[in-house]
Amino acid sequence: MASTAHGGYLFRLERLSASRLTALAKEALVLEREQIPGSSILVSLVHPARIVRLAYRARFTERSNRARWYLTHHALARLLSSDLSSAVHVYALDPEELEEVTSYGKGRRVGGERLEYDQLELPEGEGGDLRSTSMRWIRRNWRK
Amino acid sequence: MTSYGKGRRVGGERLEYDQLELPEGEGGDLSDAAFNREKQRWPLGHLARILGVERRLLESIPELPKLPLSLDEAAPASAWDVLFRQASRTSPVPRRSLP
Repeated sequence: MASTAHGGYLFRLERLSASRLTALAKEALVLEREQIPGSSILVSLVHPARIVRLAYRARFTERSNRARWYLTHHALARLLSSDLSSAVHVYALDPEELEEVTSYGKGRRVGGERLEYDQLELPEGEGGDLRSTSMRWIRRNWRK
Repeated sequence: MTSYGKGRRVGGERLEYDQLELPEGEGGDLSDAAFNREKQRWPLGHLARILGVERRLLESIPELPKLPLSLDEAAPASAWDVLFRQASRTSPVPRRSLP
């Protein structure tokens, strides 16, 4: 089970040149008031679904900010979604506290949701027996 | 539960559910299943459904190979082309609409 915090931008692979991607990644950093020198964009391909994941490798996304930086920095999703025909999703997953997804289409926010684990209401049934210990349950299972 | 025999209490036991500690092993397996079912209803589970992948694939993204593109210099188009070639060997997954 993954217990690492991470975040980034997810979208379906479309024709997008490397130069256009890096230009947008830089433009987004200017809008976010973050430094460009020394920064990279990491590209991963989620097989077999043709999903691309982008994340910044920079001082501002080190350690505790690997997930949480993406809670408040959506400029690249907004810019990319203007160029692409499908939605761009920003996600942040911090197994200790929360997960959040925000979706952009044609340069505008089109949806999103956030779950803070300590606010979680477990359902009736098997999980219902654990209602009062939901955080302990989540933490134990994430760490497996 | 309390048991009586010949008019007298002969035994009994009591369990308060909020004091229950689920055991590791078989009980642990049950809670794993419940946990995995529950996670499908969380934001990343919904996103996984939209993208047509399993949630655990999104959770394990940090383990995927990464192609770094420096923002200090011109992007290496050849590396990007490799990524597109990789993707073209896979079948597209049907699109789903946002919930």
